[in-house]
Amino acid sequence: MDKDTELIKRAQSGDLNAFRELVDEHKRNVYYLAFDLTRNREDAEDISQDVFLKVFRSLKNFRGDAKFSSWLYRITVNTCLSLKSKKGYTAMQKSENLEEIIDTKSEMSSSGNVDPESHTEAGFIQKNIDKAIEKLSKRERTIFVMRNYSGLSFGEIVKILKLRPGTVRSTNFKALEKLRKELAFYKDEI
Amino acid sequence: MKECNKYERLFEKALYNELTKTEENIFNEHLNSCSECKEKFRDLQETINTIKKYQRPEPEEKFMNSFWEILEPKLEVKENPLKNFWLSFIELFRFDPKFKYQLAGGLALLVIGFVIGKFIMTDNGIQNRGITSNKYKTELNQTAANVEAAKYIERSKILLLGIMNFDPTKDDAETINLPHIQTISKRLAKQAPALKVDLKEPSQQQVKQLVSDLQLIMLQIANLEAKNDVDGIELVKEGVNSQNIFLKINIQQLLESNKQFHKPGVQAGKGNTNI
Repeated sequence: MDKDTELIKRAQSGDLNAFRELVDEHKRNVYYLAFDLTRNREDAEDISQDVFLKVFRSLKNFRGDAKFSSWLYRITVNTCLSLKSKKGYTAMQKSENLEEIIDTKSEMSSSGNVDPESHTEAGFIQKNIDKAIEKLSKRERTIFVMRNYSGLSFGEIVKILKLRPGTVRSTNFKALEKLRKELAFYKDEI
Repeated sequence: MKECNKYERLFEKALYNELTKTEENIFNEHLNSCSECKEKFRDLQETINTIKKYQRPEPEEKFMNSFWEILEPKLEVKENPLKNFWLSFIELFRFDPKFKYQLAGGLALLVIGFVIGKFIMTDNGIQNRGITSNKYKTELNQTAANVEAAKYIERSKILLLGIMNFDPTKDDAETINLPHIQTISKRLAKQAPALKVDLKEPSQQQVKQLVSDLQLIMLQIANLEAKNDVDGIELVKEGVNSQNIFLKINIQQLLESNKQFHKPGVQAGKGNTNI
């Protein structure tokens, strides 16, 4: 029995400490996925809290047919999707949110985390990547982010999104092709 | 170009180093003979490298460190009984589908009451059947409980149909009006225990079990996070499917309608005196 399964069994029988261990184990990855999908720190924080709240409320229904992390990511993606009416996926369509991301990086550089010179370049790259990703459809962006930023395998994405393997692969490739065209001007500078 | 299309599906695998040895040989052979594909592949590799330059900002350590402290109080949110009371009170005066079903259920009850009064409660009716007073009472209680159970099942079915027809990929989460559904679910969940007490006869155990199953689902819905709990709805749907709730409901309703059809009183009403 792996660690997650053991913790879930304990949490299902009412052990709050076990649930806390599960949260500690996965909170960072949930936050990262939420951030990659929304590109907004506040939303990512709210979503990661929401996700664990939903997990807690539905924990009794988790039968272990799928991996806990797959279930968790599925809830994360759905929570991000349900945010569409507020910010969520549309966040990046607003220029102020792009600036917000750059500003976040400025804060990091001013706090000494990132070299200021490389930051300016990083900010420029970031802005263009964001603009390119913004042009992807919701499905393309979700699959692209899960594969390329969250580092999930195609097999895992198939299980999480409950899509056909061919669909996941072709969607990711379509996204890559779109990004290739969008970032073509950048080619010589790399 | 048509020839190149055959190799396109390998591009994506090649980009993530997922080609088998054979595929790799075929792919490389093609790239060496096609400058266009070679350039395209290089471009895609560069795109991936560019994208990897993206650095997501780390979450604020303050947030991560206090993650549990923020989450824990939310896990134990208790419902405000006063708020629930007012919600229920307001709900009583709202003319909504639920009220229509209650009204329909009430009318059905009246009709059944009339049928019972007309064909069973008359002296002749009792004498004809040779039913003792106690037996008659039991039968009457049973009928009333069955009617209540039928109403309960029908209302639950309508509520569940609304949930099952909700498709999060097509429908907006807000269109389902989850808070309203939850209010009805809470009420149904509350009605179930009394109903189960009334369903005590051996012949009523199947319907009692169905009421129990529905009660659990209603509780699950009632405890969903309000507004946009798409995952919660998905879990409810999975539960309904895995327990074959609709199949059980349909069977129960079929049995019930069959019973109504073969009821001695109903047959008598149709002029069948062979009882």
